[in-house]
Amino acid sequence: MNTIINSIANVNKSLLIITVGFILCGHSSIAAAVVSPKDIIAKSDAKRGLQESFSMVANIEFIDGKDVQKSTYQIKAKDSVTSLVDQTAPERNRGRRLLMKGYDMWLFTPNIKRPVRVGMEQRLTGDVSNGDIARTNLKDDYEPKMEGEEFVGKEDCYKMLLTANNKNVTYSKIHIWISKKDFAPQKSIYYALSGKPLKTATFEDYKMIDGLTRSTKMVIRDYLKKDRISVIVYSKHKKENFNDSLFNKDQMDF
Amino acid sequence: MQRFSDNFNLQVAALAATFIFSTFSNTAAAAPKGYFTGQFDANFRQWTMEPSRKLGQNYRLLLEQKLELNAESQFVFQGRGYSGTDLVDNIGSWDQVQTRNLVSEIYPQDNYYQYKSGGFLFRAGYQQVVWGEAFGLFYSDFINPKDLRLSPSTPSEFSRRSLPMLNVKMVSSMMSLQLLVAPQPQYHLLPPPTRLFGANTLKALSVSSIDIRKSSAPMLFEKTEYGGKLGFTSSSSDISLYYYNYDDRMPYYETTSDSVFPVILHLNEKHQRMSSAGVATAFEGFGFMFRGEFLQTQNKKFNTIDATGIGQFQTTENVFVASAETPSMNGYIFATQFSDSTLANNPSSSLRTRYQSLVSFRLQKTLSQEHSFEVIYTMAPYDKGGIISGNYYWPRNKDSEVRIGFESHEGDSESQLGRDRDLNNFYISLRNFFRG
Repeated sequence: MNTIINSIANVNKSLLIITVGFILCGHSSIAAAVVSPKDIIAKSDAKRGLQESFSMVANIEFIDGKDVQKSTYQIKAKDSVTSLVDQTAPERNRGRRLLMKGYDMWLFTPNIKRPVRVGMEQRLTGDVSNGDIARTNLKDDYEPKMEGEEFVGKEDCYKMLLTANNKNVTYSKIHIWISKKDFAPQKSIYYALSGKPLKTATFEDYKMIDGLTRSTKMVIRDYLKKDRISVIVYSKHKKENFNDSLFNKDQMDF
Repeated sequence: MQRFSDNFNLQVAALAATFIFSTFSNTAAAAPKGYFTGQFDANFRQWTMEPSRKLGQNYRLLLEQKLELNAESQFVFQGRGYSGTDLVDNIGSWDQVQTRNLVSEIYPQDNYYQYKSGGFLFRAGYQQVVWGEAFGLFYSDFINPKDLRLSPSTPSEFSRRSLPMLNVKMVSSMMSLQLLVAPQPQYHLLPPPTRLFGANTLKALSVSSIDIRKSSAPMLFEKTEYGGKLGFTSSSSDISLYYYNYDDRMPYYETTSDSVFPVILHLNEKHQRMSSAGVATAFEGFGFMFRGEFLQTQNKKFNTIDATGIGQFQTTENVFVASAETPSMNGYIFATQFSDSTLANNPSSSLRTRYQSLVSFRLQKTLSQEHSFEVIYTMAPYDKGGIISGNYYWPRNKDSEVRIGFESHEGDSESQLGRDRDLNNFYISLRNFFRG
């Protein structure tokens, strides 16, 4: 079971970052005249690129003071709420797999030899939770409210407050700044159920990939422990069609 | 070495098939890709109760060669090596504390061909299949034999042995059907008879020696095993139904005609043909994770022992397991599990009690930098035995990790968990991963 704990910790820490990226990195390059909070989030959701099947690689660096840990994941995503993540590095964690379908999540480790259902709350790792952001349906999980307009660097942004509308999400609130020009997310703050801020995220290195402008680098900082930083770089995006069976837990051992 | 020779013919056949197949595949457009990986473990153990040779150590090596022929097909070859002094089977005399002699073994682990296309999955060869949902007590993990000579705290990845099987799965998004055929049963590797029969029981009967004659492995297809599993997945819950017809991995014993009961016992090891049917589920509710299993095994045989001799009886065993896990609270997760094994009938001279219940508690905590620890306490209310174990997991770098842990048994020397008191120990384990 210790292996499971560690796997959950490791994979979830990474998935936090990966999925934050899924949620918030993609955006349209087309300026929008729509200003309704619901519409902004819906447009952002629709143009993340996760509405279609694709694969990609995520390289992550966890920096905790002087300690740096690197890991690599192969991601196969069917849509915004269905994905299979294979860990390929470091060597001691190779072969671990995480399957997410909606709010359900299973973990497979090569030594246990069977997939284990893990709960939303078990996705917590240290001071970070990623339960709700494993999904990319912000429009379904949160009630958006426009709080105003602010500049993030040189980018004129909508500042929005997203409030959870169901018990399956882990964060009670998310503050997000979205570019007025093209709906590109600039930064976000995630809040625990207690209302305490946990993490901030910034989105960088926007590139045109498969017709959509996406962030290919994201930096997440612990809100309290400033020297805890996670950097994720996405690469090797590829449109792929996956059989539905790939996202059944009973194929995870093959 | 013995295990290797037992499986040697099948291994040679698998290697030959691989050679032929890979040669053939080389003519195809896509070139096969090969990956070589391995793990090396060094374990150092200090026993706390044995009167002599308290320091134990073992080394394990796992080598794996994976050959991907194309996107659908691959071969996997694994070999394991073990050399150490912590196997509980090296006794000078059956009623004495074991001397922990050096034992070295090599044996095949997973060696199979796999084909995967869409929702059709096929795997043939030596492999591991694990069913069930429970933690810690793997009642439904009954298909593969285990090495029971190892300490109870040994991870199942080391104690489980691969079994030759044909394994077919048909998977859709919500359902799966798995069919298994195993042409050659294989059995648990066992500790000495004092642990199987209970040292006090044997002493009370004035037994002076026991000689166990192991049964030879069945020929291919002589005692073919078969079964399957049907799985369903829905939002927030999983359920699976399974059935398997097989030889009991644990033996029962028959005395031979040249025994002089109760002084000199010559026992033939036998394996009863039986079938197990079960259901396992896992679901979320109120923030908790619940897991449950029910497993019924029919035609299971157990031994009896009394002043008149060693006998057997056949019965049905029902196992029920239920567990609940709390949500993570500041990184802590607490879980509790109840399990009960009940025999439909059980004579007074039976070597086991009719009802065997276990209650387990587990506390785990994830720390920073992937460190974590876990403590598990299991008690058996019916005979007041218990075991507490803990370990601390400490990744050192990308290729290595350290585990530090302990296990301590308590209870009467005849109790299910207390009889292993001489295995109380603490240990440090170093594991290194490499890739060619």
